[in-house]
Amino acid sequence: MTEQQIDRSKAPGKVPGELGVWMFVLGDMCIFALFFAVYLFYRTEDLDVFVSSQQTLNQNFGALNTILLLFSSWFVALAVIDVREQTGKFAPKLLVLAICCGLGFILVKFFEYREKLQAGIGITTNDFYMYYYIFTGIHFIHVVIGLALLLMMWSASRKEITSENGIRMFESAGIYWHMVDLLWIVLFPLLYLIR
Amino acid sequence: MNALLTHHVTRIWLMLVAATGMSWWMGGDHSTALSAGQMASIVLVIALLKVRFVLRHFMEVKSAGRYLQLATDGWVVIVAAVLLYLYWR
Repeated sequence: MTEQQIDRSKAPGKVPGELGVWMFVLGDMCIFALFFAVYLFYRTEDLDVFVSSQQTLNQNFGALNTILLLFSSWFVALAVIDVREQTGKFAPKLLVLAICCGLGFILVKFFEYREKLQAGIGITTNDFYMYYYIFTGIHFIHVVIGLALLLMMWSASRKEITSENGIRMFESAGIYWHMVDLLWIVLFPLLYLIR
Repeated sequence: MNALLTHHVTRIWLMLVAATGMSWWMGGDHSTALSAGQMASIVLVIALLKVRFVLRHFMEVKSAGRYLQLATDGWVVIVAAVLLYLYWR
């Protein structure tokens, strides 16, 4: 198939990326929805402990990470548009910026965990911190996997993507990264903001 | 590059950043007329609205099939309802 014959359109009704990726993403979103519900259920059972522990978290770290993931999602969204619509080969640069934001997230998390651990606050301190470490830890693993996918996107974008399958794979990796952002968008207010 | 920067996802992104700033400010210890519960409800609703914008515009669900739109909107509505119920119960 020549490049001219490749369907690069974002036609209405066309599912972006691979269907299998959407099955995974929706499943993962449901698992996290359960996490959110479990957290709020037990928070109400032991409100004083949860609220006092929550106040020890550094909201600035949480907000900074939210902004970093929003920036990276924006860069990835633009990179996907660039590759699909061939607006000017900006995708590799955009993906480097997205990867930097992802690495920034990891760095902020490292400082945040270190601050807590140095204060003697660990996963067994109380129920709040157990949920805090487990949920942010599982999300952290998602970020690391997402960064590997962003690296693959970057590598792919350096050459011209000349097949529909290549574009779908590119879109799929982007969808995964946006899911990582989306899950943090809910985790941030749940763990750091609500009183 | 201008074509990308003026793309509608950039406007959505700016709105998401502004909404994050607003939630951050509301979640801080700023004295307002609102109670902690009202603040929490607003912050949770803002978060779920942000999620819907990410799904529709960044993940391109807006132009995907009806089933994907229903599934993702269903997730947003159910999660919002369950979280608000669990917070207030």
